[in-house]
Amino acid sequence: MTELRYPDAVVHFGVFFQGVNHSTIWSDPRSGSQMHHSTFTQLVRTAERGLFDAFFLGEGLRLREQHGKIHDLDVVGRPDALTELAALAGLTSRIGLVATQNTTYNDPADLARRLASLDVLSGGRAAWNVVTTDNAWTGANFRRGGYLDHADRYERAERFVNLAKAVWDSWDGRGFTPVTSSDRFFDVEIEPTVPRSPQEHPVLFQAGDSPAGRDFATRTADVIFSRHGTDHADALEFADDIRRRTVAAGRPEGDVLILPGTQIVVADNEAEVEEKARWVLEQQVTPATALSLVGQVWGEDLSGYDPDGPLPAHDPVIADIDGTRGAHRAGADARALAQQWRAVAEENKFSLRELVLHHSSERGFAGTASQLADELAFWVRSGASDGFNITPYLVPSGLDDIVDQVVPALQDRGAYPSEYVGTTLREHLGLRAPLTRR
Amino acid sequence: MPTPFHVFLEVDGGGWHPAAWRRSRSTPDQVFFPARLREFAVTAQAQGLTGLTFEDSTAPDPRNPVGHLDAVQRAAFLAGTTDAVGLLPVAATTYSEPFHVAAQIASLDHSSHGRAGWIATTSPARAARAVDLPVAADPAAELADVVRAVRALWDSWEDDAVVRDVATGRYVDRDRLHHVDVETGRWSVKGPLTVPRSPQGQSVVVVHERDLTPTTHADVVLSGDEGARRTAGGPLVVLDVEFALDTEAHAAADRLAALDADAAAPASGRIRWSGSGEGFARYLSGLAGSVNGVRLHAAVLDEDLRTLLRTTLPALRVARLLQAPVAGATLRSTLGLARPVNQFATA
Repeated sequence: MTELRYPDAVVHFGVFFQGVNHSTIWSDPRSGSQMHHSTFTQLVRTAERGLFDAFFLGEGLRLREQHGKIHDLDVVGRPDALTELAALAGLTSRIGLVATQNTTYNDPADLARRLASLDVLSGGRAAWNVVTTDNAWTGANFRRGGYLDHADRYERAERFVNLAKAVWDSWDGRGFTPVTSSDRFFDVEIEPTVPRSPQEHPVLFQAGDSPAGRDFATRTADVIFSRHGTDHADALEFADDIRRRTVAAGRPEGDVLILPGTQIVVADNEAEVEEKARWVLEQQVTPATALSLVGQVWGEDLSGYDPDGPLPAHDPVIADIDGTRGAHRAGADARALAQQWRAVAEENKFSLRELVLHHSSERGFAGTASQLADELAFWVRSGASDGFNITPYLVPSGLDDIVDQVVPALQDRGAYPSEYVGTTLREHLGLRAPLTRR
Repeated sequence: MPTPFHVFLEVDGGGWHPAAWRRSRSTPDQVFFPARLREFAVTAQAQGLTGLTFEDSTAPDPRNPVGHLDAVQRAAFLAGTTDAVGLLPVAATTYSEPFHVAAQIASLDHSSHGRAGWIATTSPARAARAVDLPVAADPAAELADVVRAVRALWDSWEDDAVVRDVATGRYVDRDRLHHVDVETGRWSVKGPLTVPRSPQGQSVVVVHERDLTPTTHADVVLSGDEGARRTAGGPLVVLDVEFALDTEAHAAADRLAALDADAAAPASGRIRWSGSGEGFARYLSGLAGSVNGVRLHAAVLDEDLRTLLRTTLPALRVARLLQAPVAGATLRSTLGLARPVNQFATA
């Protein structure tokens, strides 16, 4: 067993209202509207009741397409993140409000201002999950079009973030100093208008996982929203890498928190746990979704295939996976992946859908409240993460059993706070002053 | 029979007078406090006002030396805690991304259950420096193009595009989602929007008379011209009126003189009125027959609102000129505007 490096650490929870992906089971009668304000209100209030640090909203700047057609199997459509979070700021008092916002199709002057406005309106509870885009397909919705090379996106993102920080730092308590920049990405003169919030800057989250993304995060961000929320060894390796990079960036080891995205299934006993986890998985990966996911790799419409039959026998028609579906695997080598999948399917005698179910089964945690509390506390105390960003598979009721059962079990173990420690998100997360203000 | 009209209240900063913040009960930074915004919303709803407007400028503004929070954010902040009053933020069009503006206002309409308006304005040339875009040659033409693109994006989802058809596994009917393909020669937008069609279908679009071109599609026109008249079939006409009222301690004229001594008020292009609260009610009653509404700008919100609430608004109510919005009603229905048919809808 791995040693407990941080025996007194507590678990931090966020909720990720993803909006658009096949993890949300919309077909269940308990599933509410994905757009009605009451859905967001109910979820954020549940999370606040459970002393969650943060409520996250995702973002997408073009509706996903597959093979040139708008993808219609998953939830489509969501509110603008910052606008929705401002509405939720008026209805909550403690929980952090995290907006995923793109640095490619925004301007620093405008986005820094809107983030700062949310931060002031919420009394210091705003955060920005910094993401990048590089494809011309998304750019078709914006004035500058598809102008940015893949190699440049993190460089632009870092300049963008630094410019935003300068805008937030421009208030001295009495007035503002203009912020100027003159480089190949931003030749601007910004005259700020928004004063500082109680937490000084919105908290910065970053979700990129490539070496460039990790370096960017450890140089500039407060929290990493990672994908390493399933396998403990993998998460620990990731966390150790982040700690190394944080120190290399001249920051103390624990200066960047790690919150992996994950899913949590709770049930009363082990038999029910297994049954419920299987139900969740099969609702998420319907036969049509399985065909669609495989069709994404093969680069063709496979909806006529039998989901209970084998994978396509031929190689993918495309070399690289198209990003228009907004997939994590965008840009991956399709032929290599197909070959790997066929090998796994052959070895296990999996049908097409069984293969997808197999790959999707490791999404997070399933257990009784007591088992989950032990496991989640172990993750945090062994240093594999600082907490979890939970994606509910049902909206808006998907956090109820976590808040009602898992949170108290964690509290019993001394591994979860019994009240909010402060009023700002920065305080909840135990973060120090913003990097530029130390 | 009196003709009821619509009263909007502008709540940016300390008031229209650039010295207003010095008279505010709040310290300069408290002008931003969310509690203050809430107070305005509660007051506006209790008084039966049609809407709150949120002025904005992305650059410092001589009329509001303290600074601004983003107007869409302020409006959205009040969406969940109000249920009748309209929420109308400024979002400038000259250097904005039409796609973002469309998404923000549509989201405000969703979270307010149909009470969103959008005051589309042009930006000064200096704002171009903040976003590294060329200075727009014709901001009013740009505004008309952005409004056209935003309206197309608002219609890019048909009302019933979300089908949630468990039998076929389809969440949406992709045939009821539309690329808008707006092309202006300077920029283009593909669409559809990432936000489904909102409760009003199209939020109420408000444009200043000075920013209008013949092709601008506005629902409401803000005018500073006392001679403005409503016309059948045209956009609603709302007069912009700056006011300063007598308080218990000081006459309006003395208050204005003292404010002017602190900071000179720049020309605004709005009607300016000062005097007693009762006199103001008589003045506004006289406008009710000729325009669809007024937007009131207090010289000092903390001082002038008290007199407005104590004398002017009660007098208008007694004269049956105020028509309070009904809880749950959309801004369009409050204004007597129809819910627009979707431009892409298939018959």
